[in-house]
Amino acid sequence: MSAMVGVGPMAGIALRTGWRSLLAWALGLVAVMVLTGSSISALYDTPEKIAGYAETLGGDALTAVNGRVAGLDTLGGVLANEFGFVLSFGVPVMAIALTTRHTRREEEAGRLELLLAARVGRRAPLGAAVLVASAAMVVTGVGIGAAMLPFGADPAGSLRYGLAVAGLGLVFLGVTAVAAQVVEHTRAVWGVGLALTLVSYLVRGVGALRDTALVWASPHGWVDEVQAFGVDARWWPLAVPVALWAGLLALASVLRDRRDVGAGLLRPRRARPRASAALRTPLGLAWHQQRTAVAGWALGAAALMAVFGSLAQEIVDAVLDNPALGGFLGAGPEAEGRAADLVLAPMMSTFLVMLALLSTAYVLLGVGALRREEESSRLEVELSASRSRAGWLGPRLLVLVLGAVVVGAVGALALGASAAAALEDGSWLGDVVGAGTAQLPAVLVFLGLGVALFGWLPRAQALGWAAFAVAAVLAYLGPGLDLPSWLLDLTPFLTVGRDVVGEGPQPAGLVVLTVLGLGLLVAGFAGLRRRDVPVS
Amino acid sequence: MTAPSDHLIEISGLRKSFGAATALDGLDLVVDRGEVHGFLGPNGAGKSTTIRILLGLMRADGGTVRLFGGDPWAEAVELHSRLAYVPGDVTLWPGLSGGQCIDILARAHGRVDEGRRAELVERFDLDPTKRSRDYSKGNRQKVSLVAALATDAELLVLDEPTSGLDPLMEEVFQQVVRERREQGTTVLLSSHILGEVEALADRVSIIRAGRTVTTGTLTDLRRHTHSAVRAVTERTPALAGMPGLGDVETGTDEQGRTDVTAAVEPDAVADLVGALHEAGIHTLTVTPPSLDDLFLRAYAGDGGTAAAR
Repeated sequence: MSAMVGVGPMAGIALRTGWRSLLAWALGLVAVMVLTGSSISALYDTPEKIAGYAETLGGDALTAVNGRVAGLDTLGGVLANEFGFVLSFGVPVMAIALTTRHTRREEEAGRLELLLAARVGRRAPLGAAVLVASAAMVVTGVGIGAAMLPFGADPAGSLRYGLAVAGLGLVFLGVTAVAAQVVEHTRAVWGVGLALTLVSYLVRGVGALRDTALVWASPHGWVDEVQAFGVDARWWPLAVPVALWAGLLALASVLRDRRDVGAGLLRPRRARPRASAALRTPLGLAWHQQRTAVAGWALGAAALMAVFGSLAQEIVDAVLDNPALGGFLGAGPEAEGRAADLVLAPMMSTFLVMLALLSTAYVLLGVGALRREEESSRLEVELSASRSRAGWLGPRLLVLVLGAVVVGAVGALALGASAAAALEDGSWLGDVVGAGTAQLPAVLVFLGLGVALFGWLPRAQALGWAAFAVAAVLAYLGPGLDLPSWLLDLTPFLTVGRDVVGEGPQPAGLVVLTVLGLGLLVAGFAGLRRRDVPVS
Repeated sequence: MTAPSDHLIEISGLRKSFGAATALDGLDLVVDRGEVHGFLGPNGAGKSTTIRILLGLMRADGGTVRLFGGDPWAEAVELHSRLAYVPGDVTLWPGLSGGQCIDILARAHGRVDEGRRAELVERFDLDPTKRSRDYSKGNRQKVSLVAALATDAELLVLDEPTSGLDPLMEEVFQQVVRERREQGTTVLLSSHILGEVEALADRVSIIRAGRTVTTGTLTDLRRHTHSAVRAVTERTPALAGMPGLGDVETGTDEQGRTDVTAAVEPDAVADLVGALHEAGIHTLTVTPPSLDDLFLRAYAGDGGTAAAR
């Protein structure tokens, strides 16, 4: 197997250059579980309270979001349910990030070529990347399981759950390894990985809410099917992701042998030889660079929100079927209306927070692109022309704001329209879109933060993502975990209210966020005007 | 001495540090209208930093910088309408073709001569339909060069513009720069490729560790430097004690003639040739110093380690 010579040293390089991000991912995910565990164990401190969890709103209605988690009458089951959403995206994104980092990204940068010219076999870089990333996934999964133990979760169940989490990561690691052979650029690998994550998540959501075998079509569903904390807990579903992982890696190795270094299996098309008049303007260029990203994020947001919205009636039915709640709400059409007000409006508000998180992620990626303009010397060349710094930054920010509005609007329309159709009640469309608009100032705050960092601390872009990660976890888990109210108010996605669809946005919150966001933007402009270009 | 208005670039006592590291330590540079000015120095000497300050991209810590008589930091936008810039290595917009990148860059630089653009694409043998991320380093560099050279800027600021170009393209580059110079364009050519500077530059400034070591025309610089002399004479010449002469080595060849090599100052050449003539010249070559010699000499103080190519 001379193709695998050098796996050891290559794995060493991967660890040496990537240990920071590896550790950050593993610790970050384990930390979210610790946060969840400490809050849940404080909230549900008696067996009676835990038994009551399944009866509360959180249980049934969020099945589409968190999956059909078994054993909700045990602490482990409650923790797994609360962790469901973070797991659904956090683990696949971690797998994509770690795998691209040491495969296509290295190849695109030309570093792999350097190593392959040494005593390193053709498959060794892929093998080493997969080895390191797989080990990281297993350690992270087991770490998440172990983090449940101090709060009193069942040990065997925690191990089953941890391994199931690792299995989800392994599947997306395999998917990324294959995508890295097929397409030529890191960005495209990410696109394939994220799109498949979304599809898998949506398929599981529909399957879980309807309780059909459809969940088996989704790697996300396999995590639930282990039923780690349920009465029918089983180990064998763990074999499914492992088998798929092995199959995908075998496929990636075969594909690797059939292509040249630096190339993908898909060849790039020829491009236009001349730039259109629009492309020659700063605004046109900024739009051209962002349009694929805007389309991708808008499409993803629309798909996610449309599925959530279309499940509205089923959520109401699930609530009415719940013996504890059904009795409380009564029967008949009025009961449906009450259920909608009581359950559906907060649910829709939660979906809109997710949508705002998506818009924010798009915006922060866009701010990262500003930094790449600088690192690639393109900013230098553009500024050496008769163009002021504000004249360079302005059009790019305009496009980013426009992109965030498009992603948010498309997502809110999809959610509102599909919910209105499912409930046969047109008023939902206006309510949801209106409330969605109220989340835009929160997105603006993060745009402002990113731009301010670009202007004053261009090397510290990661701070923007760190702030986003904290805000996202607080926004999603905070209300359920009974965290202090002031802390939630400080979370931009909750500043305008916890249930914006039901209660409407708080004007004061809107004003504070807008002023803060604009202030940060102005600070960013001022910083860029006075600083050296490039800061490397 | 030319009139001040003819100085397109005037830099004196320029200082800039990045944290604890000093990049520029009192650098001087004057570029006159219509000349090609070679800006020489090894990697890390401060060439790119000087250019970035000149373009108002970075702010100087001290000293004065005038570009077209104005302040490049305060009046960047106005001044930039009169120049075009090519950085050493630019990663072009990944999704765009080479041709699209040229159009965007050229439009940013200012007025584009369409005929010249087409001609340059042809001469530099560039495929404008290829996506820029699929270009080699040399081809990326051609895109930047075509975009800058297709404009009718008064001043071209070129920072190591030919890195990655093959010798054929290097030749095309030199021809185009000469043509532009004949049309009256001023060029600041930063480089560490001495042959290129020697072929193009009217005047050169050599910098080291953020300071100007020497500046002047190549003839001026040579006047202060030794030529290498190699002669074969019938008899042993009387060279002992002759002023302006160094590194004298003599030997005897198989026919019994004397083989002499020496380094001679420009003013002492006549005396030396006289003495050699007395001894009966068989063969004689006098080689003026190349720019490499000048460059290496400028760095001799560093024990030669700083002289990088």
